[in-house]
Amino acid sequence: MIALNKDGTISNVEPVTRDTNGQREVAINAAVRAVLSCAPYEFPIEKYELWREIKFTFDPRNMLGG
Amino acid sequence: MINQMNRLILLFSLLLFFSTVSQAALEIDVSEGNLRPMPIAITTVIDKQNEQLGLGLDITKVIASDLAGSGLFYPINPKAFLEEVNSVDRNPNFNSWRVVNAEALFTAELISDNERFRINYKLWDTFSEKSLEANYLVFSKNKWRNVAHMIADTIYTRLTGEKGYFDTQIAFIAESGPKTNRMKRLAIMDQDGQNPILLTSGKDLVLTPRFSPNGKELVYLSYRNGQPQVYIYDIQSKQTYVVGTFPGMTFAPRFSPDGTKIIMSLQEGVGSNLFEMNLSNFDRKRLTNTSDINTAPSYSPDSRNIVFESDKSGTQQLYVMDAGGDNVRRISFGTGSYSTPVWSPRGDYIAFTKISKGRFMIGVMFADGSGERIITDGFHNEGPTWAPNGRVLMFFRESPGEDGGAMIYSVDITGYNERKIETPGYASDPSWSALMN
Repeated sequence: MIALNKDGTISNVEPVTRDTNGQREVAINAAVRAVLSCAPYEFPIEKYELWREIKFTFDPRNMLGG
Repeated sequence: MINQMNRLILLFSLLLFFSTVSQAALEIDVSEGNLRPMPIAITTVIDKQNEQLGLGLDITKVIASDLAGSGLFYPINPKAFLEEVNSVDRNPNFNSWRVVNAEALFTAELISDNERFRINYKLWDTFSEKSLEANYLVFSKNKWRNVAHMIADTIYTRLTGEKGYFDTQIAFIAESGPKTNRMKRLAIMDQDGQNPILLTSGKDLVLTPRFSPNGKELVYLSYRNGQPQVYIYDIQSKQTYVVGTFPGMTFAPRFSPDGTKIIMSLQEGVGSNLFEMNLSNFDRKRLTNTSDINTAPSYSPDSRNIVFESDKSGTQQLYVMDAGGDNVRRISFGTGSYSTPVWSPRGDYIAFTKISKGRFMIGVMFADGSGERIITDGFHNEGPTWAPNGRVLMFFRESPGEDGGAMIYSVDITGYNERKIETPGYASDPSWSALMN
């Protein structure tokens, strides 16, 4: 879950799933990095209420052709 | 390594177009992505006391080379770095590392005390600005390569979630001389091709070395006394001994996962059968009893099953049986013949050599025979061996012609990142050790 400022920068990133165990933690870290590395986001300011909070669900199953 | 933002942003635009304003958070599914090596900044290991020795720089180079060699990381050229790291204790300026696209940052320093060295190291996530690892290792100078490999293994694990495989060795057959009279010698080297050591003189033909699980012994085939027999070589004491006295030729040996037994083939008439030899009391146990050629056995990592090749259906195919020899079932059904099966240390896959239409391929299938996938295909590829994490294979490839010979290659099980391992001469029959430390 990320919270965005009006200028598209990220004010907060909060993983919904928490895990300090091996592969899941690594996957969570990778997802957080992906979200952070794309900031700032460019969206229409008049719809700020729509995009001020976004929940991403990452599912890499399709990345290697299933 | 999940980065699919272009697609994501397109998705965003569509959603914004169709949606009405709501207080609830937007929900976005990211289900596709692309694979690319992760950019990582590996700063030179600080060595204020003995900079002239160059040890810090040597360790840095090995870590960077291991990570780049895995195909999963892209070490950023240090010339691009904006920040000079003078201490591992201070938090880095994360923004200056993000600007050069580093997603992870490695810093370390060496402290020496007489002959002992201590390396303190840290791994940072530059986007979430948190430490992923902070640790140290104490070592004597001659172990510096192992230490570099161990640190690279830790970085690999913290960033991929998989165990590493850099602090390992490869046993192989070093080949020299003309093809018609090639000398074959037992040899070992580090996983990256460094420190090759020849173990036998070349007087006797040797084949198929396999590491013991603790990395201290090799089991192999030697024509030492005319008749091919299975021997064990103790790497530290340099002693060899024959594994039992059998009435015929013994071959295709492998250790059990706990190192207490050897499984191998014994020639019987025109065929061969599988036997297990207990190394503590030399008890032998027959596992197959047919007139076929049953050979190339390999245990599952839990020791409950054995995969092997047999020509009982007319061509060489792969079979799995219970470790006691019961419940034999065929698992390979593709066109062509299959040989040299090796069970992955993770238990999921079996790697094999496949011969079809005159071509030699390396492939993997699940242990039940499903999901067959060819990883490399060509004139002659043979003899896969697994990295201890079960995600990388080595095999050898023979080139055609009178001057042709064998070379060892590594490849990811997805088929990406094939690399030749540099060896002093021709090299075949690789066997990958477990992690050494």
